Amino acid sequence: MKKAFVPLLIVATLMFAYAPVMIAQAPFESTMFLLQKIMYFHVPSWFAMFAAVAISAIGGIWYIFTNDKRGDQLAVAGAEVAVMFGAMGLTTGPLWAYKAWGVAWQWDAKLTIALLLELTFIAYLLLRKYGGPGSDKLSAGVALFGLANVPFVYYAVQLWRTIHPLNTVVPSLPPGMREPFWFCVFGFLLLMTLLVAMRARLERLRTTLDDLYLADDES
Amino acid sequence: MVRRMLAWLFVTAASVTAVFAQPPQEPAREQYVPIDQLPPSEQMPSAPLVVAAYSVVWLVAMFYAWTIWRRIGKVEDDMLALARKQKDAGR
Repeated sequence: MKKAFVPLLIVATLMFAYAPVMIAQAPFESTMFLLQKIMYFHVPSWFAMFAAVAISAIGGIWYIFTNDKRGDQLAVAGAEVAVMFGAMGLTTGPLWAYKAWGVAWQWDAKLTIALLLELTFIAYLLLRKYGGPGSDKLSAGVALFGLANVPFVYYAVQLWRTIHPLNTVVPSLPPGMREPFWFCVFGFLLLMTLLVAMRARLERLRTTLDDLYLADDES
Repeated sequence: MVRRMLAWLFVTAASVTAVFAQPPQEPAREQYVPIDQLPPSEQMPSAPLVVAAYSVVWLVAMFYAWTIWRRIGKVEDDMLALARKQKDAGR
């Protein structure tokens, strides 16, 4: 990952620079026109959040069962990145809804569960910061709860009566809209991977520093 | 008798309340109004919302990457300071 990081960062930057061009060239949707173009960044930000949540939970399981610090580092990195992408989704969505629905926020099942998912990972980070000894394993459990919440966020539109657009919108995207959408999804997932790698490196360095301080105190 | 009077009063009061509680009816439309002739309070352009959404994504991602970069730099500085301290102490 170390060698590939800079080339991948360049690719991600280029993708994000080119994405608006592709989106601008995509056809307008018949009822929402320009407003629908928020979807090209809104949906991928949730996909990236779900992936980061999965990484955090996998890291948590790894840490719980093996006590391997690398699992914990991955879990923390995934959780923080998940909060960031969740914040993007929770900001871009209301900007779209403000015009499409006439209100920025509705206590609709999908939106409420998505907010709960975001709050779960904010709780994770608060637990890590202020939880004291043992909070690493407790927070790994929180990450697992967060992962269990993901299918409810995704399938909420099918499980409950909501005003949010259906999941079928994505697989039924017509040519012209499909390409920029998947381009953005790939760009967001790449950005998520790079951010998780960076954040995990920070956690690794912190662990090393803690070990050095301990060794220094003992000698 | 008194019971009947009370029931009549209750029904009348409830009916009057229900009538006054109705939302005012909009007058029937006599003609269609083109969208560009709507008062500014009823027009909501999409462009600022789209630009705001894209800006938020860019700014949040860049700010977050910058915070990680800064934190890594701080930890590396602490490691260097510790190494220097150990060297000065002759360890």
